[in-house]
Amino acid sequence: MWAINFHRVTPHPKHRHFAPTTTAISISIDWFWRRRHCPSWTDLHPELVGLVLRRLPSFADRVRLGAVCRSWRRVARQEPLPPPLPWLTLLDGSFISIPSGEIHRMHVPNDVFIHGSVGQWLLLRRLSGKLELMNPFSKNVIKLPKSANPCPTNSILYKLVSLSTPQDLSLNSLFVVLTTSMVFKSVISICRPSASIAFRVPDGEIRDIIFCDGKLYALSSNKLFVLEIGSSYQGKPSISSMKCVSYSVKNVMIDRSIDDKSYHCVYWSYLAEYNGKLFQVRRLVGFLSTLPTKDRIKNTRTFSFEILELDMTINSPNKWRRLDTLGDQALFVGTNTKFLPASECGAQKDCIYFVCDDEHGIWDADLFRDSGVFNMRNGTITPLLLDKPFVRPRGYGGCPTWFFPTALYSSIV
Amino acid sequence: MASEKKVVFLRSSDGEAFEVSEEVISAASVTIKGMIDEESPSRADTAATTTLAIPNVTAATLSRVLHYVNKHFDAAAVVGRPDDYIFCAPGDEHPLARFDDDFVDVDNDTLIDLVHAAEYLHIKKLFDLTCKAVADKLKGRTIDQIRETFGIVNDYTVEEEVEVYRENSWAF
Repeated sequence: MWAINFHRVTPHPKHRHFAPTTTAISISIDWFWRRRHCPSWTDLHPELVGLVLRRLPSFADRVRLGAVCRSWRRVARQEPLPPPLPWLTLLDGSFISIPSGEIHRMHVPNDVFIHGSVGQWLLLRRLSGKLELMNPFSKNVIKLPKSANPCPTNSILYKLVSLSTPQDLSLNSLFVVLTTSMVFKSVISICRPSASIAFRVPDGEIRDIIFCDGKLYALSSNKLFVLEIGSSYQGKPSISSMKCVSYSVKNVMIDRSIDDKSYHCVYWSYLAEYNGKLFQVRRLVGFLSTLPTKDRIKNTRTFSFEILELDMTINSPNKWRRLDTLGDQALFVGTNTKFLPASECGAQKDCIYFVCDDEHGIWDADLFRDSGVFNMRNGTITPLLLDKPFVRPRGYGGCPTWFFPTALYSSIV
Repeated sequence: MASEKKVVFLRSSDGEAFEVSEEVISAASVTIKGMIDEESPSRADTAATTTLAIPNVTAATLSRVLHYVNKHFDAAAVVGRPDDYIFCAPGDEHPLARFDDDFVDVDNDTLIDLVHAAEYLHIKKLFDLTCKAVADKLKGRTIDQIRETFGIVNDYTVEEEVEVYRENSWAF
């Protein structure tokens, strides 16, 4: 009788909701007592493992938790997870997590410049000027035609956007590449890995491009353009027109008095997309007006940010409307500016995460010299990293750029 | 009599009974609210106090859970915004954030008992809090440290372990 009862009521870890009979109570107490002394977290219900995974903002922590044992691994593979906190690319082919500063070495070639990312792909520039995309998890590479980089020796800004889903990039994908030369002339190339057609921007410098709600946008210092994609005489995709849709006052150097000191300031602009809406991020940067020219770039720092939303219903040439808050979102600003839901990814809501992205070939400068977290509610800036990492200097210029890891397992990337 | 607050007794798996306001525990626990609703027709015409068996939760855990419930769900005790604090930014602290931090500053066994109790009793806020506390204990740990901390046996075969390592060697 006892043996039968024991078998019937001994709780399997998966059946915690058993209803004990009178005879079972002493056994259930015994079970709890034993469990207290031999705790087994493998008994954690698969759903609980999934819920714990969702609350880990670090991608590396999620991967490690998902590798602890078979049952946790099964959950980690199946559970759809919110985006984790992004990484920053370092100049030696490795990545750093925020805010912990944990460094991940991923065997990215170290003789390249990294110019941001598209989905799980990094945009790399070889010393020869050739551009390629590389997935650091799968190590797959997509080479872009040489003509996608028309001024390989003197370009200072590179930005690539994909007209396909970034997760499914292939040799047939269509890309748009923006390059801007040292004399601030921009070229926008529309290309497949097999061919490229360049469009020389007639109106000087383009700061950023983005694909939003089926349209390709380009932003200069004071104008927003929509670019039409048509076909060239050879039937290849090309840019057929460029139309200005918003016009504002020209962005010029201004003098500001901050904390009783005089600064020369300017706005840097970025484009961002969220739910089919287009946003412009304006970053106020400056340096002490008394600084000698050679020290200015190295000592440029960020003071504040403004967020503008494009609203085509505004009855004025300037269609940008200022927003006071990002709501529950956090914004990561750089060559690939992106909104993430703050509470889900473990970021601070209504905050803007930024790094220095002013290259200018300062090889000995601190990589994190102008980085931080700007709080839209109170205007304060707090450090991006808990401890400043030591990053081995490398012989090329460059800046950290955001990388947004999403896939938990490389084999399914 | 009508103005007096109703109470229920909860009997833990090891037989100890705890008194709690019916209103407070109903607001906190979906499971207990369901039990009370089931009981209520038979209670309407009797003054007897209800005792509910909570077979999956020990007295030690139940007393902690009720401490949390009284702090968070007793309208007289709650101040501020009860539902919007778990992901508060630093410096944006909810009045109960300190209480919550202390509440989950416990050993691993106690914490897992709280997770299971919150799940069984269906107390969402406590469940969120304890899951987040478990996540915090896992931050920055190596796989071996996680196994050691939580007493988990590595049940991979040699071949599987090689595959797991190969897949994401950067993280290990």
